[in-house]
Amino acid sequence: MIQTDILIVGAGPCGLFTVFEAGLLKLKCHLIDSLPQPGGQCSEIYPKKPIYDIPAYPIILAGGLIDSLMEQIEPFSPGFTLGERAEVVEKDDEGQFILTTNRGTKHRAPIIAIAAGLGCFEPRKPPIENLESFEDKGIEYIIKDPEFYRGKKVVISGGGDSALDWTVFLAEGVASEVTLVHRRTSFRGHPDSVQKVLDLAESGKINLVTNSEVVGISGNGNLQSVEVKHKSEGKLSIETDHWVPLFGLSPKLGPISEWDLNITKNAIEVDTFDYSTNVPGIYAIGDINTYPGKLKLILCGFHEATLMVQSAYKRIYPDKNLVLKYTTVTGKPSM
Amino acid sequence: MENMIKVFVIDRDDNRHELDAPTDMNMNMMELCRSYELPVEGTCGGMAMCASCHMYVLSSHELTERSEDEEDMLDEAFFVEDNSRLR
Repeated sequence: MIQTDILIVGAGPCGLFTVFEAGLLKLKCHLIDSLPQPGGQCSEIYPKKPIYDIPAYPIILAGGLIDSLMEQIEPFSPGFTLGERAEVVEKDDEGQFILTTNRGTKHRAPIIAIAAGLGCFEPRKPPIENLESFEDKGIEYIIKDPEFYRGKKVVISGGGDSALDWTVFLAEGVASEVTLVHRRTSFRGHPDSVQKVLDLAESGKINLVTNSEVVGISGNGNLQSVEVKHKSEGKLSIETDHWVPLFGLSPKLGPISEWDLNITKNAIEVDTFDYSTNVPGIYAIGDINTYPGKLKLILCGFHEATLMVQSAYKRIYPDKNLVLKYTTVTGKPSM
Repeated sequence: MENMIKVFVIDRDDNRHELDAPTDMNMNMMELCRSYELPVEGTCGGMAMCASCHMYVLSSHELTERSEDEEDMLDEAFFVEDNSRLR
């Protein structure tokens, strides 16, 4: 069991900065994120995009902002549980929260700060009838172990790097037959990978079906074929053992919606006094919360994190008086 | 009114909405819909990163061609048609 003072759900910019503000008050933090790396959307979706409204940075790349935040919180040595989704929250006999992830990792803390942005990133699922009934029976949204596909017929959908890279990988002696289905003739992936796929198609090692999309699936318990619709030439059926639709990730609120929190339009209602939710001891900061006048900006999230930890401190140490100290006075941050 | 145009939006339930769009505020369709509290997702806030502002342009207005970013994101959208745009 991982024990900490503040358990932060979401390791985006707002969650990371919470570690700093908590650290100034000598509170320990542990972060949980469903993505395998810290940074949230900044790392996953737009690491190379410039941001212009971070105070004192006329311009900073989203990825650079995360690097700087990681450096800034390093003195407080936060813990991380990455690649796991915060799933269930319970309370123990001593009034502490026990948070269990989808992989069963347990965390214990008197305070939970939800800084989960838009929720956790999950594979985007194509809106096809019966899709769910073939999940894990031939349809997978993530390739975890390529060996799983050895000797099998595989259809991959998508035009990005993961679709291209897996097509190339599986075509090189792993799967018995690989078909790549894509909406148009050009690909957004890395030019090298695009060339490799085109070469494989040219030499007949893969079946490249462009200007097409998978519109139907069928099978008897397990997936047996996918129906592919070409833009102008009608439909064809492709026999296959697996279909792997790779259409990127999109955020979903997920299990947080079952934590008895007041939620409006996919956002958690908070009191702007301290960004507390309706559940005492659980706070929500950054893009995930809502209140009159809310703006979904990183800089507002930083402000919310700062006020939130003050309130968290008072909950943990009700008898102690907290006095604001400037970092210029206290000097180099340390735990 | 000066600097205003009318835009008609048909939602997924086939309801038709008449929106007044200012032409001097650099608003895209996703933002315009949001300003009327129409339930467009627009997850990424207009960075061409999520395709959740996908719409079909039904009128014959001449619009700018799809940008490369837009084409790339449409690869992750569904029910893409010739008049699909991320706006």
